[in-house]
Amino acid sequence: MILGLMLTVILLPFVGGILLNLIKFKEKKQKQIYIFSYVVLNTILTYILLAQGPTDTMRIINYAGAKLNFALKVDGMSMVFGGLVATLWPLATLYSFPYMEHENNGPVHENIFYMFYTATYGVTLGIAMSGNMLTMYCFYELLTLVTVPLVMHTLTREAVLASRKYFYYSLGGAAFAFIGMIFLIIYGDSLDFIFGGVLNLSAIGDKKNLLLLVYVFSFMGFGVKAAVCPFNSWLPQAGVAPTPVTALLHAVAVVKSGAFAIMRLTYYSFGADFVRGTWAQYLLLGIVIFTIVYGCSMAVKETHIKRRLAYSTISNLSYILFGVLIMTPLGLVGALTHMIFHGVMKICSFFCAGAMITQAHANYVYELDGMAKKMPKIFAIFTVSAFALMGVPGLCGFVSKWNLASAAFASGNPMAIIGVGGLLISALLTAIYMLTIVIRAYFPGNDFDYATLHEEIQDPDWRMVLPLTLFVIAMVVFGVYSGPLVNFFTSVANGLI
Amino acid sequence: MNMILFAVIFPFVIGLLVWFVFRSGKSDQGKRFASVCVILAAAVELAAVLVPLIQNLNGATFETVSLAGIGGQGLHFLYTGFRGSFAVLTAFAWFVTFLFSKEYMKNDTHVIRYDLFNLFTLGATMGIFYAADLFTLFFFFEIMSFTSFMWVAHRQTKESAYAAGTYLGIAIAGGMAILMGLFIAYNQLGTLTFGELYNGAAAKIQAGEDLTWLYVAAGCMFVGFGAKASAFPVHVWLPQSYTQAPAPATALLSAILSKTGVFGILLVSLEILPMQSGWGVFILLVGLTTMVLGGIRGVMSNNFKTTLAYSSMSQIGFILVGMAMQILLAQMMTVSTDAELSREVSNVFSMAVNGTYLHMLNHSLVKLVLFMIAGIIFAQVGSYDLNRVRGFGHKKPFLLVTFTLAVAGVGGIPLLNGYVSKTLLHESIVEYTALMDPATAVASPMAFRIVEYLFLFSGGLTVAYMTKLFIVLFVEKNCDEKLQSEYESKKAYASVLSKIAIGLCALPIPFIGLFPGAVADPIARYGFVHSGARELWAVDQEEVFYFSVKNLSGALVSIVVGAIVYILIVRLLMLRKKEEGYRGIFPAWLDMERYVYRAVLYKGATVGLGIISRILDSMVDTIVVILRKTVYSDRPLPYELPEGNYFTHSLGRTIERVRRLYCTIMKKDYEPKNYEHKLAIKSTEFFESGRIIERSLSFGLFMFCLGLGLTMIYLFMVN
Repeated sequence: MILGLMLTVILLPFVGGILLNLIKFKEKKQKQIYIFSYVVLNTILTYILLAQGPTDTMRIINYAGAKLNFALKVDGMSMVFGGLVATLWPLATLYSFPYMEHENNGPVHENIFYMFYTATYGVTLGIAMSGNMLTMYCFYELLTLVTVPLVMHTLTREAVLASRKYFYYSLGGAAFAFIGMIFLIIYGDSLDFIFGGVLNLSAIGDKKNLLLLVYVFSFMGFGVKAAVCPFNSWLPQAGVAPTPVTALLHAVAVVKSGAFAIMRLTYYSFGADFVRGTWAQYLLLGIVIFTIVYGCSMAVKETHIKRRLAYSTISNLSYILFGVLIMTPLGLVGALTHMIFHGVMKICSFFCAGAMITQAHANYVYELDGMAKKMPKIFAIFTVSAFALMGVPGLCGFVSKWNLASAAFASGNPMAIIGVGGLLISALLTAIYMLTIVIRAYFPGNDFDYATLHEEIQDPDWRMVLPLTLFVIAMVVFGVYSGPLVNFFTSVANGLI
Repeated sequence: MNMILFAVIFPFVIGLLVWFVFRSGKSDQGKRFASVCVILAAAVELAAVLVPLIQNLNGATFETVSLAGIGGQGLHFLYTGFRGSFAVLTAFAWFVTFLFSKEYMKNDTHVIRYDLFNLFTLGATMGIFYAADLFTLFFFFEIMSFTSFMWVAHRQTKESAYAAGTYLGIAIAGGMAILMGLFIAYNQLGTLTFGELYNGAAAKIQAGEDLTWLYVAAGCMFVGFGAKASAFPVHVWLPQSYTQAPAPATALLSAILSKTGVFGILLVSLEILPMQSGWGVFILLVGLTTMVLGGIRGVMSNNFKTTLAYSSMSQIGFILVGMAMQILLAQMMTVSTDAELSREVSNVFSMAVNGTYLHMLNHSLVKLVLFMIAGIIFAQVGSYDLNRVRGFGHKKPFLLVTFTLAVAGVGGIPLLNGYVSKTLLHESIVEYTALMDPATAVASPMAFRIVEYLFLFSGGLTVAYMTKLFIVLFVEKNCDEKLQSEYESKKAYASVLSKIAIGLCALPIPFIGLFPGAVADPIARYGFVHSGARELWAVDQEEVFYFSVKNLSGALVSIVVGAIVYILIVRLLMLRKKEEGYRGIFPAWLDMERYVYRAVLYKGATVGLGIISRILDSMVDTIVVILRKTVYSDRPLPYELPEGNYFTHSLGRTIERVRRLYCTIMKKDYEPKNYEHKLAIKSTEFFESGRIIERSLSFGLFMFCLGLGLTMIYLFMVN
């Protein structure tokens, strides 16, 4: 029963997407209702599944004994990631309807887009519910394959180049992760995800340094999707994709899959105890801290709005990895909090950027002067998300950054304490790159002539505004009262769920 | 309902309410109604903070309130008489500025937005003064920084945007510094609650542990709080922001927001590094620099509001010096073993506490008056330039009285409030010098004598720049005679409400000064309990003879110095050419904000980081490109492809032959169609497109899927 439900939520988006190309719809509206209904259905099914609580590992196909098999399971981590994905997907789909109407690529092209867009939903849930490394690896590769057509959607030369780059980077990264999997087969008890790790310490003997090197390799391998420096440059380039893709995939689903995979790798395969206090932890912490500051600095320099947000994503993903690398339950709590909260904040700011593109055709920061008067709702929402990203108290970004920084201090690791400095510098830079947009839009200066703005620029319709409003409510509510959620993360991070 | 929570939450609620009701209203009536609403709201707020203060006039009560789980860590509030008195001052300041704004902001298009952020700032400031732990303090401090940003940006001009940028930059950087300090303090002491922090730190000191990290924490927080208090060298936002914000907002910035910074520094000094002479010396040095530098720049400015802004900075310096004296005296108290000496030191200590506390109160009142008067002048004259403002005060008795009270008050003229607080502070320095044991003290008595001289000198600077403003307004006449007669004929320069607002603030100035013992001492007693129920601090002060010859002579020194400075700098240097009027003589190249902070941030940081970023950004791609050009280069395409191959040639020829045969049999005319050539072209096309597909991404994907499918089938077959 549970297994059936698991397979259903993974496969339903595929089937729905394929049927979309076979059914002839008379009107655009019917098609949109069809797409939205199967996405919502899938979300409801996912909620039902996750509400069942943790399950045993369900094995589907056994191969070469017990070590290589396909397995699915729901545990605390799956609930966190799966819940995030299931919540955001219908909202992003709703948002994508008016957005894709602006793209005007013809129905066939659009159908293909939606097929891959929803198929990614299934694959991401697959990653969330993978029960062992092999399954996760397969879904991880599949994720690359189904998202490449989305990046390529516009078929411009720029898009093709970006998707090629994305493809090479991702596959290359997966190859490194593959090395990790092989070593886990040899030196581990199984490939299953068990909190605390599966390494067989007696088998390792004096090869600890080798294993640590392998850990670094696979960390960086999965880190490609999480855009760790120096493997980050695919992410800003992939911003050529339509905004629903950039927002949902390149701010939440794909990049968070990378972070999620690293969490699994660190806490459920290698085990935090194995890595804590070793050179590998220090090295990776150094890289991640650098990425935090670097992403923000690049964002400050960038004037293309979507690319600026993409650089901001790079920096924020490294916040999550920073939390992971603290290697304490508190650190993992911080990482999980930021994973969820950053998902909400960044999808919100990306959607606002998308609305600016569709409504005002503004792609660059300097084109936004005085825009707030024309699109008051969008800019009010963008301002809230900007403050949340900066970590202003009372909004959710503050809670997660607080958790991260206090975990770093509690760990007593000197590198982690340096990292807090990085977080603070990054918060300052975040303020610069987000608030320049806000200030330009609200205060273009007294000599600004509002007549130069186009007459017809206005707020988008409810299908765009509704998801954004929900995100703002979420940001405020989590910012003011996040107790139960953080308690849940704490029990996940201690391996209780 | 709990009064503390009410005081914090009420302004936020009312702010939102006012905004939602009036935001779309463009009518003057709606605006008037909104301004009445906010005045009433401020009055309610004032009543709400006054009630607990009156109930506990001795100031000894403690009450804590918590909102668990809010904001991640839970918010905790603490009520003491000390905090309550600041809350009353805050609510009072907001009340009078709202009274004043009704006229001042009458023609402003964004008045509702101003009201909204103004009320938010009020709520946040209440949260700061009631905060029971560092987290709550930081929480509201950040909110206050962001909402008060809207004051500076309010006018929406290029200059105000520039000023607002600096304000925000310093505020955010300061906030981050506080946060860092907060984490370090938590790491070191394991708590953020006031009182517990003190216990932890005291235990550490008792055990003789290393205090380096506590110093780092306190230093980080000092940067943040000092920025709000406008302490050197993080004062750079001050002159522009004060000039750009609307006058009532500037009054609040100077009267209350700077005090939140001082309040933060006070708590850090009390809780994280209690009684550390090293910390005391640090604050003393910063305070002296701020005091002298602010005074000098105040004298040299030719702008009315900028002079007042630097005056604020200088007075904050006085307060910091007083705070440093508290710390040094407290440290002296802890080490002294002689009972008689201890009693004397504790008496001097209480002077320092009272002086600091009173000077904060005095400065707030005086600056409320002065900035509101500046607002009136700006509304009438349209400029803050001294040469334009010159002569405005003629035939305006109300302005003359209130302005004189305020400038003489802050200048430390006997019988007014500033004299009381400055005397107390001055006494504490003098007595400290007398009581200190040169063998164990942090510095030689000579050094403290210099401190005393600097203190008196800065008092003189205060007198000098205030005299400058007074003479400009009320003694001199404008060079433009037409303008002068216009100024003199102006009778309706301010509404009754505005005058009431100014009068309310000016009233306590002589009251405190005339009855220092009766008024100042009880008020100052609140200062004793600001650090919780610590017995060490709770000492009684002996009666101070404010009007003794010794104390009066101190004031006299300042006045004489002030007169000399005024004549030398203002009359001789700034007014060198009579026809040009006042000139600002502070050299522009000493502008720290433009030539240090912005230069480092824009030039140094961006260029340096930019180069590194560019290199790293293209690193992986460069490797790929190099590999593609060297090891993995494409195999070169042959330039001339042979058309067709053996198979197509023979097939084409065969078809040709068969056709010819067919034609001869069927007796038709045979026309050669050259199948050989056609097939050759087709095959070339086929192989070329095949090659293109082979190189393409989709082919790779296809092969990958095929392989994956085969593997799946194999897996199914095996099991």
